[in-house]
Amino acid sequence: MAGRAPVPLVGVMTTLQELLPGGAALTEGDTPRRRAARVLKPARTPAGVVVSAALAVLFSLTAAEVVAALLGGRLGLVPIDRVADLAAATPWSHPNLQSGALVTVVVGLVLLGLAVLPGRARLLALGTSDSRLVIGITRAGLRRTLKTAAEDVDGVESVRVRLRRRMIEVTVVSDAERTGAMLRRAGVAVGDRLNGLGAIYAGEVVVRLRRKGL
Amino acid sequence: MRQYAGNRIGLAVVGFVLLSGGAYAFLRGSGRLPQGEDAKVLSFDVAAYLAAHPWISWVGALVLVMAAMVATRWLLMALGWGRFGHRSGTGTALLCVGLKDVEGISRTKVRLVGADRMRISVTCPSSADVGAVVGKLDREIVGRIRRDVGDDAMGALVRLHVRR
Repeated sequence: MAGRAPVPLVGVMTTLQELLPGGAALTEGDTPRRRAARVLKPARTPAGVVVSAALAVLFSLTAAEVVAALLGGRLGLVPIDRVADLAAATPWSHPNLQSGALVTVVVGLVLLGLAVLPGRARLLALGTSDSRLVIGITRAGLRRTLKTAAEDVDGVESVRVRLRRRMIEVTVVSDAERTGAMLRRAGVAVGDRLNGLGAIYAGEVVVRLRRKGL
Repeated sequence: MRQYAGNRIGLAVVGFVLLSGGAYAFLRGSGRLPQGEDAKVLSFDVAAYLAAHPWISWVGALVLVMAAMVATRWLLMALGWGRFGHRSGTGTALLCVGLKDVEGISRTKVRLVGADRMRISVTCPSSADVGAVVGKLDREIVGRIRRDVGDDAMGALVRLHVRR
């Protein structure tokens, strides 16, 4: 096999980084969609606050009680003696303990699910030309702007927009006789508004018609 | 720029501990482990050993204190301590000037989080051309705010809302 001259990888990477705007690092798969998903992913704040508050209270009180007991006193905040007596009297096979263990497993699975699953972002990502800028629009905001775009079409009485995981469903209510062209125009208006926003949305847009009064 | 991951890490750790503990207790109680299922949860031997070696209880108390401190710090971070930053009047003024052509813009806000991040909020009416607002933010306004209140390498997150 013919020998090859070693390629100076570090030098090549530096050159490519210099070519990128703003000196951004060249990473495979760092698309605007991924970048936005990384930033807009739910932070799990409510669950984090509840669990951390519960743990902080539990650990603080127990630590204070244990230290007081070791120093010969008693605070009465946590019934450590009663818990120890109960643990010394209860066998592992006790039905209440088994039920509690199953509940604990379920709670653990829920918490792990919250930690691992990406969840639904509160903001929907919009495309940007700057790798350090992420713009997100609220779900209600996107619904309203799409609704306004569809309502501007002649013959449309009212519009309902629903954002689903993989689909934007626009339901147009009208009493017009000839609805084909109107429906097309409503679809074009919604599509134009989405294009104008630069929405990074993988799903499809479905426009439905509902006759007024039905 | 990334979303705050502390809650997910904490939830994963607590979830794993609960899952492991619950599974062990269930398997032990249902006789699927080599140890006897009729043994008491706290055996007399363990209690006697702990009574004979009080330093173990002191170590336990120390571990509890440290765990309480970690949990309190997690709580403060989860509540937004150190993550909300402070409002930038200059940045907000620049934002308003940049969007002065758009009718009905409200609740404009620029917050600087540390030295490397910026959060911007804009609310516009449903009649506004939201696409034009996004284009202006992307091409001009955010860059101008960055240059005036921070540096060009600053990451920025814009929250756009459309009101009725």
